[in-house]
Amino acid sequence: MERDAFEQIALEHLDAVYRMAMQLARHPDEASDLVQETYLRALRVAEKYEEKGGGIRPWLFKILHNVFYTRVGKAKRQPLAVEELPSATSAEPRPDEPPPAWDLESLQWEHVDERLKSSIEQLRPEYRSVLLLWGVEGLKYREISEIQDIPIGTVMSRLHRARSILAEQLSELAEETGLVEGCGGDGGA
Amino acid sequence: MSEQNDSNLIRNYADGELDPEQAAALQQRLESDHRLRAQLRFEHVLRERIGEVMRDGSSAPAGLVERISAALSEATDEPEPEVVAGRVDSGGAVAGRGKRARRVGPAPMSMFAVAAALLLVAGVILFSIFGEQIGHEGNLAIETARFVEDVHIRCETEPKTLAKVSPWRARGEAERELTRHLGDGEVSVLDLSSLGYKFYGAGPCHVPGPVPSGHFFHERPAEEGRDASMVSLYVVPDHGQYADQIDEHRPGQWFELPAEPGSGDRILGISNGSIMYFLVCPCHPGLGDLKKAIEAGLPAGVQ
Repeated sequence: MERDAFEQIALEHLDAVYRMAMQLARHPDEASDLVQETYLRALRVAEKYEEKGGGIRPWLFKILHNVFYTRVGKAKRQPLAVEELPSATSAEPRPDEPPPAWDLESLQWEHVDERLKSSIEQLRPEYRSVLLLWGVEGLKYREISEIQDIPIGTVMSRLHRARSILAEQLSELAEETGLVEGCGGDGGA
Repeated sequence: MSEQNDSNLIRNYADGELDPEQAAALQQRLESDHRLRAQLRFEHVLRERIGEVMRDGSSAPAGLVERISAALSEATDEPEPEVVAGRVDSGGAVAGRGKRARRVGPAPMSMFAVAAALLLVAGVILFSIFGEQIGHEGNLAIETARFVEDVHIRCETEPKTLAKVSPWRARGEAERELTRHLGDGEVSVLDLSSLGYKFYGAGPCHVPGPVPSGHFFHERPAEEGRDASMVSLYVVPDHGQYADQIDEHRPGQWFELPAEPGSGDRILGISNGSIMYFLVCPCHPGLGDLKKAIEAGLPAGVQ
């Protein structure tokens, strides 16, 4: 693919790539650097790009992901003594939470967007990135699996857990503030 | 079917990720189950709201598109090394990045290229024979962590996989068969019933390394206010193969292997001197109790 054609197609997705870079880097300057490096690397290997039906965006996300994890280093998987790791009872999100509250279907969503955003921001990074690729970018499990280079089962597990955590937190909010209308259900409850 | 499985099914259905057969079966259930329909609506709305709130105000900053466009132009204008068989010529600009480098040959250096290619082929053959052992040198604990985490997640999310890799469902059978399979120390099924876990099954597996290995799965059903969860335990004869890779590695000492970059599970290990146990379980406040239950159930050597 020639540069002009590449630029035209790839830059259409700049907002999405930047959004994902922000989620990974958590800082605007670093995100911009990441995006630039992603596009440069993509240009270098543009000949290898094959359209698989999902457009160029998943491919750009995959390069972004690789660039980011190359930058953060490969020293993540070092065995550590238990004492060096966060306590199991720390405040990190718990995947072992109660199931989603189905009656949240009647939640008054306009009142909860801030809480939803805050809850997403607090998710563990591995949950958040999968959730955003799915919820914001509209990607399929298989595409996310390829982008993040993880098994599709891992994608499903992370996504389910992230949604359970969000549902639980929204359920708590609804209980705290009485934001649930009526009795929920489907008219038959 | 458990509430947790229903929840996963509904989500996969909402995402258009169920196969047609599963989708049809679920559609039938949806017709008569208002609770499932309510969850389905909730999942649709949740996804829509996630998209709305997280897209909002997160576009690329002003000037970034120009900066990248300039960087791409600059990269295109840089001289590209001309690749000649067996050597790299750094001189000579190549107009147009998309063009393939001109290949000429055979050149005087080509015999080295042929030799390199032969070495590469030999390397591939050797790797196919010894690759597993070579790949694990100095990295066995890490490879083990990856393996047990992947198996755990697959079994947690794919009931068919869980059933397939757990052929020994009765406790006695599991203990007998695994002890025989490992051939090195007696293996017992741990009793985690005080924590609500039931033994699901066991089977042989292929934890990276030179010795046979096996795994046990324990499940805890969903209850009011609590999701279902699964614990998997991998057993590997401890011949000291992890000794120089794990700090504080001695019988009875727990250690932890971090997940790649995090699956939300924790991977803990402990040895009783003859068997190494790797535990994969969800991060939850009951982890301390789980560790105690495992310590109590291990054969002599741990204390």
